[in-house]
Amino acid sequence: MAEFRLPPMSRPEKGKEWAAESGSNTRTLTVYRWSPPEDGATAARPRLDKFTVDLSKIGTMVLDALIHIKNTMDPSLTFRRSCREGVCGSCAMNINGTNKLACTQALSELKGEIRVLPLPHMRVVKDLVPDLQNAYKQYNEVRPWLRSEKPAGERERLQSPEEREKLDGLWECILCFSCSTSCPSYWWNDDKYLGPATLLQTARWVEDSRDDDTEARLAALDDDFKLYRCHTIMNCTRTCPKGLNPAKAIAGLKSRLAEQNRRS
Amino acid sequence: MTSSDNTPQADRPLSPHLSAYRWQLTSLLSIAHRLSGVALIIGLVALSFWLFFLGQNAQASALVKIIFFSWFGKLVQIGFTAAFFYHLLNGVRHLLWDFNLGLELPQVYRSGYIVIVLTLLLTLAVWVGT
Amino acid sequence: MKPLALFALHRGTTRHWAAQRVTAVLLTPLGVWFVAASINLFRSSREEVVRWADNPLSLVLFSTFFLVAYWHAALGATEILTDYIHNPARRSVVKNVIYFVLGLSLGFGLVGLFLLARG
Ligand code: HEM
Ligand code: SF4
Ligand code: FES
Repeated sequence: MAEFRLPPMSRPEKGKEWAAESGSNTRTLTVYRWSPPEDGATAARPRLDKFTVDLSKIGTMVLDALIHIKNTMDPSLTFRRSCREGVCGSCAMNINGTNKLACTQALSELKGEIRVLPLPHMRVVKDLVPDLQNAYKQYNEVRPWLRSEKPAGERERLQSPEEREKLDGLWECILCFSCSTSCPSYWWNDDKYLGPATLLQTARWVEDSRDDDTEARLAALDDDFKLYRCHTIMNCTRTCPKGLNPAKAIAGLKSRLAEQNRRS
Repeated sequence: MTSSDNTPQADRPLSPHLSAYRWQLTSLLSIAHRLSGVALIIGLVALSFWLFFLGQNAQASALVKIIFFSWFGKLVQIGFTAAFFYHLLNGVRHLLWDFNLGLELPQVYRSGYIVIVLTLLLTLAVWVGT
Repeated sequence: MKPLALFALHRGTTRHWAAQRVTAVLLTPLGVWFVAASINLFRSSREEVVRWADNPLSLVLFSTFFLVAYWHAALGATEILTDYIHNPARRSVVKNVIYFVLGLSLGFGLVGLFLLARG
């Protein structure tokens, strides 16, 4: 059965309240914490720590607050980040209930206390770092590269402007997995359903005029789980921090697959 | 497995999901479609038994009518009416999506609100207007 | 997709998906008609329902609605079970139980309809 509740050892408990910074303009962040057990020790439950930061000391984004906490309060706080401008996809996390990039989510756009959790329904490596191995394995499974029998020529494979346009809204994806981890259907079947991020990537190759393996790419989706666990819930499109539309890409895959099966 | 990855998978906590993710129009209307679908399955079974009892004789029919129009039976009927209208309207929304129509987020929200309002109006029309 | 292939409950997920849509398309007008008809129907006495069932048009429309709705319901139930019951053996057992109950219920309905149509 799908497990709708967290296993007991995964339920966060109240954590540490860190000494608040003073200042006329402060914000409090509740942050998910968990560390793997020391050798021989048994694992503890995750906890929710509270940090109050002085906004005058930091930049404008949630990531700035996290970096400030790490630099000045608790150096053990762990999260992924790299580009700090929304192009690398490392800093995706659940902020006030929806998935965002910490580096592009302005603190001022959030109301009240700010709640920062790892991407939902993922195994936690440490603090805000989710284990993405399964997601990457699924991405790999759709063989996300150009597949063509035509030998490589002297120069690039050309596309008309119209053909190139079909990739807009697909190539911009930064594989942050905000969409997949926002999707209840992915929560319940993440071992078999590919999830919106990987399906949008599939569409990116299906729509590519230079790729010649469309039929096989689509046929590979025709089972109970890989594609058809999508019920057009739309949490993916609602949350994508790049403003992309995975649900629409998936609808395109479904109608192409139906058309392909109809003709055969 | 890399060295940073030596914690057994089972020892790692699962991050909060259903309890932590914010409910929003997208997910609410989706689960409502599922719940109304399940309600309609029960409604279909009820409809079958209505037919069966009516098929028997006048006494059985009278009894069924008393049950159907008790205050509780009426309440259930109103529920089925609302579930039916919601599922039908949202079903049309689904069908449009399947033809790649109305999938942009603002359209999704607009059609979502239209479905809610029409469900209320139609249910009201059936139970107050007739 | 040959038209008849749509009737197969088990073969291929795209077929299952397509059958759910085809039944939904059919149920849209039939459903509207059914709601309109049922407003008076449930309040009627047995004689009135018998008179209603005597009309071939309403009998045909109703039977079509009834059968397609059951078909659509079975498809939908399967979909929900696939989401939530992960063990394939257990899923198949629960699925068959649901098909059996739906079949039985459909049978009861058809018997009733037959008796009503006969008078
Ligand atoms: C007697 C009536 C009906 C019953 C018992 C019924 C039942 C169901 C059930 C159980 C589901 C599966 C829900 C899920 O997967 O979450 C479903 C899905 C669906 N229903 Fe119905 N339904 C009925 C009438 C209708 C009508 C009139 C429409 C009209 C458009 C419709 C459109 C749909 C669509 C499009 C889906 C697929 C949704 C998806 O892909 O998630 N249904 N129905
Ligand atoms: S579609 Fe959007 S949310 Fe999903 S992985 Fe790509 S950028 Fe992230
Ligand atoms: S740090 Fe690169 S996307 Fe946020």
